[in-house]
Amino acid sequence: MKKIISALLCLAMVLCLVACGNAATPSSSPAEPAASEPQAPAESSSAGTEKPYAGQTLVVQVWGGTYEETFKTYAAPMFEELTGATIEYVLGSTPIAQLGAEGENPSVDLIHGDAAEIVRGEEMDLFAVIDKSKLSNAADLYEKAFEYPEAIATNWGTYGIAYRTDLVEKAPTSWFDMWDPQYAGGKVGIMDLGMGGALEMADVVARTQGYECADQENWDNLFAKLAELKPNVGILASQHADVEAMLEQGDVVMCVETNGRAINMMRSGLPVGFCMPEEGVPAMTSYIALTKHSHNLDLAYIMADILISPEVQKAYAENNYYAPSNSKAEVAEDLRGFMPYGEDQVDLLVYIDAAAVEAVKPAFTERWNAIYK
Amino acid sequence: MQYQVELCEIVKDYKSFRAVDHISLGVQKGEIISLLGASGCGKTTTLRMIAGLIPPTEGSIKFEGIDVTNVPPYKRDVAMVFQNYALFPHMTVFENVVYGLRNRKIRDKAVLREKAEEMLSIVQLEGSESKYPRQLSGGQQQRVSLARALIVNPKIMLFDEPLSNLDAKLRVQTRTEIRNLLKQMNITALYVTHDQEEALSISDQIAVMNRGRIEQLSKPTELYNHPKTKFVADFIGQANLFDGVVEQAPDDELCLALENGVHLHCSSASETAANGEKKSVLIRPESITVSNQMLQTDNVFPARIVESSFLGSVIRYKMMLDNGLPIKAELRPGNALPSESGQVYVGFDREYAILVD
Amino acid sequence: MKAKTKGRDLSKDWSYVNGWYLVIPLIFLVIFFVAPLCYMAYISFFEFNGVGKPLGDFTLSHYKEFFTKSTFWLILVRTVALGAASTILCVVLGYPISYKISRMRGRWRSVLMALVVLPLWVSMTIRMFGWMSILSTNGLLAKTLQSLFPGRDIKLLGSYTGIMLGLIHCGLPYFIMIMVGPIDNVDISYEEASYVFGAGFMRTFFKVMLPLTYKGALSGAILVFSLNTAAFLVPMMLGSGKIIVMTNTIYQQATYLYNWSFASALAVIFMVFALLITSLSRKTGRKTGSRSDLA
Repeated sequence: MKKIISALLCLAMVLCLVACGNAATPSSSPAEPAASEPQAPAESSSAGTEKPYAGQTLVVQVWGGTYEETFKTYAAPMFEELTGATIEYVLGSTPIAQLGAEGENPSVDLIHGDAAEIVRGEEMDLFAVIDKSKLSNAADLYEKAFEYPEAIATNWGTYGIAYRTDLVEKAPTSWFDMWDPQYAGGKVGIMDLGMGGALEMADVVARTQGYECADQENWDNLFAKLAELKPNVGILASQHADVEAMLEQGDVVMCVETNGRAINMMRSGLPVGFCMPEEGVPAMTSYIALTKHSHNLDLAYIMADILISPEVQKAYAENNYYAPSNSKAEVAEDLRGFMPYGEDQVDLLVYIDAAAVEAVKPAFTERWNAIYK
Repeated sequence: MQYQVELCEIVKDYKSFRAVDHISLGVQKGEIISLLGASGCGKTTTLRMIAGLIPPTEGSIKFEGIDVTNVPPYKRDVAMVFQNYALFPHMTVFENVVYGLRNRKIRDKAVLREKAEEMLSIVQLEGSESKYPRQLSGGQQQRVSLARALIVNPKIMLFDEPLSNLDAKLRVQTRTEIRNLLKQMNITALYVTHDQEEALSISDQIAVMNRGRIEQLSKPTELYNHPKTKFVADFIGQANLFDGVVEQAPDDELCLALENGVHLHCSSASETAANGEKKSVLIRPESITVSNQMLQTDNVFPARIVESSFLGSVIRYKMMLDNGLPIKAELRPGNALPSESGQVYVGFDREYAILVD
Repeated sequence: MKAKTKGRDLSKDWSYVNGWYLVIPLIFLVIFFVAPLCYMAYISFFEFNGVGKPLGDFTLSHYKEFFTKSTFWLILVRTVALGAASTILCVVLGYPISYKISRMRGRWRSVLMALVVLPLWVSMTIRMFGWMSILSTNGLLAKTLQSLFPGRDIKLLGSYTGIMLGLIHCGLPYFIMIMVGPIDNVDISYEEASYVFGAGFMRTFFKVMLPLTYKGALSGAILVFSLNTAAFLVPMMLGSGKIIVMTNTIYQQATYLYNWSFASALAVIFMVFALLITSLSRKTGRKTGSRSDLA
């Protein structure tokens, strides 16, 4: 009897955690290969006695892995040197739901997010409207960086197709190369909803049909096309690591991927190529936003200013292959090909209408689940 | 004549330990043989090998002349009464009793019921069919366990210390009942026990075991009166045992010279005692006469009483012979010494002083 | 006499101690388990206007949505079927192992027990990555099967087979751990008696061992069933996102679509079903148990 009760407790506990969407699920973070922590920012605290914000702590959410690494190596020391304050990290994806639940006492001051998360956060009134006058670097940013009033775009990556150069006969040039019947039997990896790259792919497909992915009148058409891909789909990835492992094993020969992660795979010696398809290259924009009720808003602005400074932007470009949003950030010639460098390139990217998508997401999800699951 | 069950040179080794060491034994149809010995002597191991629960390392086992060494237990047609009864706790008495019959493909409900009733009435448990083992006393459980074994009319029935969990009185009563039942039904049985009294009362023959070997296989009276070895003599009943060297007395009778120079007139069952051989002599305490007067027996020694204890049916005297040997004697209360102090005489005839190996 | 009085006092003390030290776990359970659970059930009956915003009107629409849409039914059935099938296999595979371990003594027993528990020390994600590489088309298992059945397209990753293997892998250690005790409690003489009285291996198992251990087996099975129906990482990682179960659906609703009320309704429905199934299996288990007692 006791065993049965405890078994039920276990079950209920798991359900409860899942339902609340708390941190109990490690899968939600786009885990990147763990990186050793570079240059611990230790010395700053000793020098911090005369600094204006000495003794204060800024809580920053940042994606774990290489993104976090660049943050800690370049941005954090600058910030601590300047302010004397220390940074506390929250690693993983944007804690939108958590911030919503926390209301006027947010546990994070500065967050990183993608377009969908920024839209969702704005809808929930989580973020402060950006006051450009508090940012010394604001004037140097491209116009596109301020698309949303409550967020700043810090850099751009792109979604494209990563493929195994040794396992495909012809390198893909089009999104629809993924539809090729020769890849039937699950040779293609795509992203699942909830991961960047899923809606973006659907968006490009919709655009070839003359619509955007949020346009419901086109959905029959759109999902018919997406359904055609099903025989080729080997994985609907919920974490990058999963699909990358399958690409490495050769289970899939191509997959939707970001430029940065594809280049990392190339650099690690895998026979991987990256294609920016001809129909359009969806933008993967990294935004930062400041929580509205943050008690450290001034500090958060300083951090934000550092993140859009040419130095830090250059570091992200060189280490993560993300194109800067600051026009003053100079990136070495040989690296520019890996990213949408320069304002014209940035403007050429396909931007998903995150707000419109947000409104139809439940219905979209239902149809997506219906064809792929 | 063919044995019902025959063990030929059975050996059982456990890693570095030899539990059973070349045992050979034949059991006649309808015979009850006990394996008697202290714990660890290999008696239970032997029993389990006959049941087929463990395979022998060497040797063979034959049932009615047919080799069954490699036959699994469920095809051997044996039955066993366990020390802890091993009644299936989730089955009723009825189910327990007919378990063996069901496994022998007897499906007819009426037959099963009739047989079970018969067996339960034999063990005097009529009407307990629908009870569960836990609702019965230890003695009743033992009877059910007996009924479960009797009902299959096995080639051999194996008893593994079946009475050791019962109280002393019930033990005595049950063992007579078991013997009567087995004899009445002409069932061959092998009975493992460490209780010599039990073995003596229940068996046709007793095999005394020591260190994985059979020391002696004899009828109970023979075993008691003419043990072959010192071990058996000491193990069964009370014993006075003295070591010495065999000498031929002038009158051509046997004599044992003890270490301290005392000579004992004795007899030998085996007639093999040769001069100079090292032997022991057994004198049962009840064969000894003690008196305040001089005695006319073959062996007489003056002694002093060290201790006496009244045990109900006998009085036991511990004495010291004047020549330095300690000796025990048991007298019936009617023959008690008038005086326990001072000089007494201890005497016994040569036929009660038995040479053993 | 004195000892007796003392003994009685002691037992009285103990009952007080029992009462008091239950308070802390009870408080813990209420705060961290009962309360969230009740809140979850509560919000499933209201319109959800967004995270951090007040709940809307009372509604049964979330439940209605579930019960009127076959897709959700299908997901529930799939979840339960996967859980049940993997549980059955865990029982079938785990029982002999538990049996062997519980009949062992000494060092080997500890070694084997440690081997059984060892996988639980490794993070689930890492274990699942291991399975991904085993199940991958170029992995060990698929390659072996491919050579055994040439010409057949063997796809393990992203298939029900893959998920089943993962679920069995996760449930087996728990089942074995639970099962060793009950089997150990069955004195070996019962088995020996069965053999001696003419029952073969199968008969001994079904007539003696199983009835004497079915309660333990049922507890183990219910635990494994609970764990496996509530599994999240296994279907996600080994199902390659192509096979969705209740947990994934709830997760999607809660963290991607931010529809907490519907997610809660799903969780409540899921829990009710799981409870129903476990209590049902307990009842039938008891029935068959008692039947074998009387038959």
